[in-house]
Amino acid sequence: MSLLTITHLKVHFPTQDGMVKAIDTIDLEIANSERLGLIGETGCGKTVLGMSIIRLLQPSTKIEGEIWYKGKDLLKLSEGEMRKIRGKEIAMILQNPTTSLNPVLKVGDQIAEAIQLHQGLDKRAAREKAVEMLESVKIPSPDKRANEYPHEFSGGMKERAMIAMGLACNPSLIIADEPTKGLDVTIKMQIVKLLKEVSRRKSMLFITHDLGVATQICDNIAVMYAGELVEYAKTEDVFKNPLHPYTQGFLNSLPNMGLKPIRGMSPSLIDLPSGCRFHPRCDHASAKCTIEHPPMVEIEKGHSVRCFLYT
Amino acid sequence: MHKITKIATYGIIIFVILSFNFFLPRIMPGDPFAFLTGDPSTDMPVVLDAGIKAKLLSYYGLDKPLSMQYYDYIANILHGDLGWSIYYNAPVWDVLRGSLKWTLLLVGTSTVIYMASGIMLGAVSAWKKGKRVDAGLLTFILSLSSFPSFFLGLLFIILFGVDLGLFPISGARTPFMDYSTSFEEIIDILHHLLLPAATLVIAHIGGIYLLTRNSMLNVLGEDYILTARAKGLREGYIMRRHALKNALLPISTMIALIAGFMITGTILVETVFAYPGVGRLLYEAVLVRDYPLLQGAFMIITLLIIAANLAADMIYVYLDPRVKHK
Repeated sequence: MSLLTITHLKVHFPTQDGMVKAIDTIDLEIANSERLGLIGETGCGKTVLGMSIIRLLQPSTKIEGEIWYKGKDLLKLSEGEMRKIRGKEIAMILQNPTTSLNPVLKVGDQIAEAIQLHQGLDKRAAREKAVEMLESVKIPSPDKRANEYPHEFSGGMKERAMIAMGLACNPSLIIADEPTKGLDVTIKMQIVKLLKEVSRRKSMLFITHDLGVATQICDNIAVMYAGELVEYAKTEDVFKNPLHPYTQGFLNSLPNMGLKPIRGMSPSLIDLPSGCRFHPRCDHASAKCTIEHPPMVEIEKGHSVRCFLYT
Repeated sequence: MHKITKIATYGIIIFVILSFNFFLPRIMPGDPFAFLTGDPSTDMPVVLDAGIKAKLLSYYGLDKPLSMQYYDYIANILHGDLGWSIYYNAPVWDVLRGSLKWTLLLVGTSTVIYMASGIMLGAVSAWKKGKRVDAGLLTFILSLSSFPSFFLGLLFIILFGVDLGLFPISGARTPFMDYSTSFEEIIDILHHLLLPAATLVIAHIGGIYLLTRNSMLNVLGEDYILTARAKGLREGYIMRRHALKNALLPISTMIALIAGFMITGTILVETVFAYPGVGRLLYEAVLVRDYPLLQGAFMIITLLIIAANLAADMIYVYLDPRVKHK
């Protein structure tokens, strides 16, 4: 059964240079206990998708479509109703823990305030729970650490604290935005292991451009390109049988796969290419690809692709 | 180590300023007795012959070479002796003490009021950026603050003091008044305080308001504000707990600078309202070239500004945990 269903989602930002079509159009489902990886290059709209689920985009943003969560369309909720979902039902772990933690508040207090708000605990009980959370993300001497400020934490510890903060109210869905960005390899592996552990029996949308990390955590992978999904498959199928030329190119650009970059640049989201958005960079592009926009087609069960090569 | 350098820095600053206080008055044309001798550059036709003037100069030690006078001045200050006011013919400290309490009352009250309200209104403005509240506050406070303080003071005197007769137009209390209760005395003092304090508040609120507004706007764009929102916290709570403390960091360093302007503003306002504070005393001391009194008044003002600096440093440490461990 699906926990989150996104249908026909469009997210556009009006700017001075024109309308930025950050998401255009996305349909996506996340099942109960599913860990879904959202993969794509920087600037393809991954983070915007996460932010639109918990509705933290600027008020000027134009959003169309529906985001169904436990029988409610999140886009139709009032701000007050939405606040009760943020942090409690759906937690978002933002990227860049160094700037995402408040420098003048104690780490323990930053975790405890959400607990106090959503679970109605008093200050002391919330603090105790915060210490427990720090312990659960394997921060040594959590009782002492809870009283420290973010600048006293190392990069990996800050990321752990962010994860503890996200998990504090036992949410059903975790949106993790590039949680391994900027960490060195050993720390990265520890965080991956931790995320895998804490997301057990939970749903997670794991946003990353690091395919290697995604394969270790996720059940399914959705590949995003220029504001839309171009391929969706089980994690092993993405590796064994990548269908979309972009997915293939993405795999080939990985260090252990030959480090061959995809030619060209990802398109501007203001002025999207006609037809298939990937055609200017695609080696298989035909005349049809420059004119017609390919639909998402399910090739085999659980494996869909947006490409004319398969239709 | 850090504390020692800090103390040394303050010591050097105080010494340099004390030296300025000594030399600046002496650079001005005239001397304390020019006004008594009927110097053509002043219009006080008092006759004082050269012999008496020489005696007076020697009596106050003003005939000694400048270097000796400077040495005496520093040595006396180190002994806590500020000297003898030539004009008032009383110890400088006694003259100063009488006016210092009024200045502290005036500056203290207005500083607390304009800081608190400026920060509050600035924060509200930033929170409601672009909305009607923000536009209204911005226009209102900026246009009000553009008046020079002395002009505003004069307007207040004419409007509320003379025309409406609601407030006294000079002094810090009603002269020769017998108060039956101390409550009555307090009311009288507050009654005199209101107009000059209001003038200072209006003259200074604009700066702190704008500073807070800008600082808050910067902070509201930070990632940790987004984190706070992602936790489902209320906007008002996020403003108070997450944004304001960060926004106050640059403001606390500005407090020291503002304190300097505050003193100059006080001189004007005290003069306009004939408020018996240090500012007005300074103004009178300049007119009559009362060197010891000038030096004393300058020194008090210097110490007040340095105290404000120290307060700002301490507030910063309290607000920002990152500086504590350095």
